[in-house]
Amino acid sequence: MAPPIKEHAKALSNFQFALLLTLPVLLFLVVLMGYPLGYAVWLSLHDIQFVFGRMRVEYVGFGNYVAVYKSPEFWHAAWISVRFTVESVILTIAIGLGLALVMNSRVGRSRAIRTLMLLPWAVSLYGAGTMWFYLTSGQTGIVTSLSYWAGFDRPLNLMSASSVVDILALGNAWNLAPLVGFFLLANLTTIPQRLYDLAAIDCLGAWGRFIHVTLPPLRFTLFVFTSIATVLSLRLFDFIDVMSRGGPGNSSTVLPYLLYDISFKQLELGYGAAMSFYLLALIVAATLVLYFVWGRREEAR
Amino acid sequence: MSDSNENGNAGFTRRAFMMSTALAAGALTLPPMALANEDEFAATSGEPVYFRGWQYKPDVVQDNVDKYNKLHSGKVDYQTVTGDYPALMEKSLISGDKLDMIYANPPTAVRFYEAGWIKPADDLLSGPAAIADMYDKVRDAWTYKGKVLGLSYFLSPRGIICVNRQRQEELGIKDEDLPKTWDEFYAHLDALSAKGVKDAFLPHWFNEFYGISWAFLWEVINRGGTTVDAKTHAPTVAVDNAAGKTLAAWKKLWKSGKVPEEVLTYTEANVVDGFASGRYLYSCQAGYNLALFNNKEKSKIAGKVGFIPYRGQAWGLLDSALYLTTTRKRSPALDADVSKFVSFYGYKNTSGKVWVGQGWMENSMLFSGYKTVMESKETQESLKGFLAREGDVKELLDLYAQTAAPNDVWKVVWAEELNSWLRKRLADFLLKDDSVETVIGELNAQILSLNKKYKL
Repeated sequence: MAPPIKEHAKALSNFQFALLLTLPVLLFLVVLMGYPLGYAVWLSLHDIQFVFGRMRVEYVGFGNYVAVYKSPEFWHAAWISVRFTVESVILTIAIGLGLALVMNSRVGRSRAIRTLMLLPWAVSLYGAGTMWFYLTSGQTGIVTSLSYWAGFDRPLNLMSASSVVDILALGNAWNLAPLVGFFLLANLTTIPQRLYDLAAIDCLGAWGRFIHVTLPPLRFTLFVFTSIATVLSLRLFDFIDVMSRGGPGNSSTVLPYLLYDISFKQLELGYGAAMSFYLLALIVAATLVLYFVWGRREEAR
Repeated sequence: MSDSNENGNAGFTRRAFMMSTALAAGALTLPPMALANEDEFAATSGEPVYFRGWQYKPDVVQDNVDKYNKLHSGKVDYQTVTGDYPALMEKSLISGDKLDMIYANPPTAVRFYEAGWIKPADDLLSGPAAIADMYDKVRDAWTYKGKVLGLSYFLSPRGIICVNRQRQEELGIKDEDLPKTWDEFYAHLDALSAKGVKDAFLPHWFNEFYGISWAFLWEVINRGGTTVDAKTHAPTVAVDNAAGKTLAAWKKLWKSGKVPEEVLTYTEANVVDGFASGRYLYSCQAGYNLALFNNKEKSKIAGKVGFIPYRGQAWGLLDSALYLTTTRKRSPALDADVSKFVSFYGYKNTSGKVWVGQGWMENSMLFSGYKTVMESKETQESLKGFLAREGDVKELLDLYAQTAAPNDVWKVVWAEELNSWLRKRLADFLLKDDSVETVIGELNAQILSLNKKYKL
């Protein structure tokens, strides 16, 4: 005789039900991501050389990881990546917020203006890189044109070793900010007018209204987009490849660009794979820091 | 290069004589045999032939391919490869992509040949005839281990110093006062700078695989030096020889601020645009760009661009590219189709004309490896049209005749790897405070490490 089925075993918990629904997608992701991830781990544990067109493989354990850790080239690229990302995120959020405020104003409600503001986001990173290169180079740049117009006779080059990362960050922010702006605009439209009326009664000025009325409902969206912009900037490659090719010298060689150079030009696949895990660790660490410093507080509100 | 030269025998051996005689006989007998019949090039397999190359005038290439397809029932599929061509093409070959005919510069061809991905030109339908029609210098540049690796796409001196004659005239620089050597050139730049002349020189230091690294290689050979020993492949660079002098001159030029820093982020197109704008007095360029600089539609100084002639020292290196045939597995019929297409495209058509090569010469001033093209009346006429003065034609051909390829380093399997290293290291050397001694030391170590990797 079969044992009686307990009542609580019949029904799935919410978690179990959710797991059941997402199981096909999870399995698909495991297959889709598991193989390349596993292969990358395997590559990173081997010294792989292409000699006379043939692959030569030698197991080196964690040798590649140690070599990357000891590489000044890696640390330089990591620093450039961090600098580029911090600048990109600050500029993206600031410009996005500015765009949202303009689009929420009386002037910005025009469809034409909103369309214009969204356009940079629609431009491919390849196209944006080409355009920004021509805008900022000393030979053809807008700053050179302005300097000539102002009576100077020298070209002004923004693609110098000292400023190239800042210019790349500005270009990246120009491309990303419209999306941030539109999401923030959606938040802004939910703020009741009566809150601004109350602020007026409290004699709050423009800055006070912004800090106490406008900003609070935007904070979670700002956190989300700070995280997204951080991840996108840390792994950005194509815009940088088109605009500066990591140069002058290695002045704008971010980690993804160095990875491309090592893995796909020099065909050092094992070393490159090990370096890619450092990049992955950097991305995970950056998002965790953001979450623990900022995200948890927003969740608690 | 004949076998005897590869083996280091300087004399003209009996074997070399026999080979030359055979080639000459081939030249006399094969064209009528192989090319007289229009059907010789007709595709029969019904399968596509995959042709890939870098992005130079793809519209012209597509027109040529279309014509072949139409005339000879071909199914040639042409596409361009955008980006770092040697690296991308190597990845394609490693991954077994469908490739039948590809472009390559000599060092890439050597690397692909060593990997077993390409077959020599001798096996092609028009191979022996085409090889016999090549100039000795060209055949030598494209020969590796006794085999000619491909058919002629183009040749050109790269690294010639173009002169903006409008500015030259304004500054009162006479033709006879133009520098004759690299040392004189840098001294001349110093003198101009002392007079307050700005934008005197735009160098060839752009960030592409044939940019700054090639500029180093040619300055070394122009100064009479080498990068590696042609036989042992051991490094020959030292602080007190051509390599060290080149680096020292570059550092001095860079530190003087006479060169725009952004040139290190340029592509070739940017360097060409920069000089065509008329801003610069001198610029290191590919020889074929003289046609563009003297074209009213593309240059602000059209008709006023010349170059520093050969006066005892060559300027630049012999840049060239070949059409290579891959060794991918094909059916015999498709293999024959590939041979027909490469022969048509890389040598003569059914009328016995080097149709594609002559077209490049007449439309874009791309020189050919074939005597048939270079010594034709049409070539002489078109050269006059491309150059600012009639006397420039002779001067350019004289300079071209004196220009050498850096065979010492380009005929080594790791040449592309060294090129990639040089490209990054030289830009860093200019931007940072590294000394010439440091870079020479690292370059020696890099060459030794590559030799060790390939057991050379």
